[in-house]
Amino acid sequence: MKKGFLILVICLSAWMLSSCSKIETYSFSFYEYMDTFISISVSTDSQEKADEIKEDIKEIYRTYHEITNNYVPLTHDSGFITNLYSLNQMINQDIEIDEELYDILNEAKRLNELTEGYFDVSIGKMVDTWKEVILDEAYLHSDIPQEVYEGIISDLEDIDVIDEPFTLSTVDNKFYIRINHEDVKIDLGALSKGYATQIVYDYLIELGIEYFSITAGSSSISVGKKIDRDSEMFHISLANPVETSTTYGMMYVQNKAINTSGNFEQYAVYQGLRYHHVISPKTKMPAQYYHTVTVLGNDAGVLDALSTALFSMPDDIFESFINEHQNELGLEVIRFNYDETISTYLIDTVFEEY
Amino acid sequence: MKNMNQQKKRDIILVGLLFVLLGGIFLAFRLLAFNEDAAQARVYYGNSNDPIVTIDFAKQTVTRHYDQDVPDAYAEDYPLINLENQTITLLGDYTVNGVRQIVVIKYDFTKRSAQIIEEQSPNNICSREGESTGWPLICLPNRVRVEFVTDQGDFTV
Repeated sequence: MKKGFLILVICLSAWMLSSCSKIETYSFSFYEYMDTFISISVSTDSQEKADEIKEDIKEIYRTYHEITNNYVPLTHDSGFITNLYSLNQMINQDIEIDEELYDILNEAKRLNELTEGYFDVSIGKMVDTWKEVILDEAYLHSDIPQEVYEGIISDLEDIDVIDEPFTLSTVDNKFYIRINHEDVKIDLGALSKGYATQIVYDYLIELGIEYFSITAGSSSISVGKKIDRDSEMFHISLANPVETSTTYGMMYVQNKAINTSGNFEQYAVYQGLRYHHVISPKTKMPAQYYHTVTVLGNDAGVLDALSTALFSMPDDIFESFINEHQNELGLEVIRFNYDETISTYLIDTVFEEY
Repeated sequence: MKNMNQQKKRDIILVGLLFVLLGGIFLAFRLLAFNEDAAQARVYYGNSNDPIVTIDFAKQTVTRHYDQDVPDAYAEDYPLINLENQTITLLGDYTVNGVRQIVVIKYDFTKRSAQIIEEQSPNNICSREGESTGWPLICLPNRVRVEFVTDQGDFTV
């Protein structure tokens, strides 16, 4: 009997000790890609494995940084055919591109159709027109003079939104694009970060990594499970876009992507309204319906595009989009409205408003 | 028979005590290992995930963990911590005429806040972010960042 008890105690002790996981958490970060600070945290069983993961993730972000770069051409040793900077200089020509760029542009087309034109990567010239003023040191977070505002409106009149801005094709397993109009400038800034992050997410899941987080800038986060918390849920707070040093709520998530579009980081003010860099393809103007739109779902790339599109939708179109697509996309939304009220469209995520 | 019962009783007590002891150790381990940090702001430079300076708002201390690796041409030892002015100065990566520029962080123990009060960069985004109590301050071309460890959440979007 005594022996039996002792064996039981030893077994229980061994079980308790074995339950102390050997998995450790490794963190790494990159400043070099997509004009943002990217930070990854993964829990795995060795430094070697973590180093391998870091290099693979670095290569994913490098790829999308290089091919979607809109500011400089590729370097000779990049290993890619061309990038957006060079493509945007070549109108009405069939240009060969890498498969990765073809795929992301194809996804951009799909999302344009899904959002009925509210997400449009071809309006780069309009975005540039606004950014030139918003990011000017004289106007950032300050008032835009009337003559400068009127200058923007006048410049925008000369730029059209094109119905079929570019054509994608494949011939003999090679990939091509043709930009169809001189008013088109492809800007993948509202898709590439989330798109690359989703590839990283899928890569970690494929490796069997359960506990991880990926933050690509403060607006885009993808998480697995939280290792050091019994609930295994991440606690993610939402920044108040009006009182910017505070937060207005907390959500509890795991195995999700979260993306926010907002008007509170880069904006200038005209007649009391914030003019920011999220430009509506329908009006050529920054919309002023909401301060932030935070979306949750299963695909960081889709969410990156949807937060941009939803941000420019008036309330009735916003509501009908959610009604039509919420279940199909597993889409959840927390919206900070212009009147500082909060609207939520949630499925199973717990959100606490302060 | 009486002895057998007494021995059995002692065994049960012994096993019970062992359970309590092991359970206690297990719980203590869990609590000590995974208890969330007190409110702090951590200053990072470059790609390092080790903070170069920690501002502990609860203890009202500023801890310099290691020196910033800067070329000999720069006379100062960074980071510079000025307890009187409540500032921390790092050497950023952004250069003007080939000279790396400083990034000055001002902290406030009472408000549990930090703010970038001086930096050079194309758009001065991080110094324009103002005072933060939770929102990370990221100076991208300078590769300096301030992250908050609070009970507000793991991340802020």
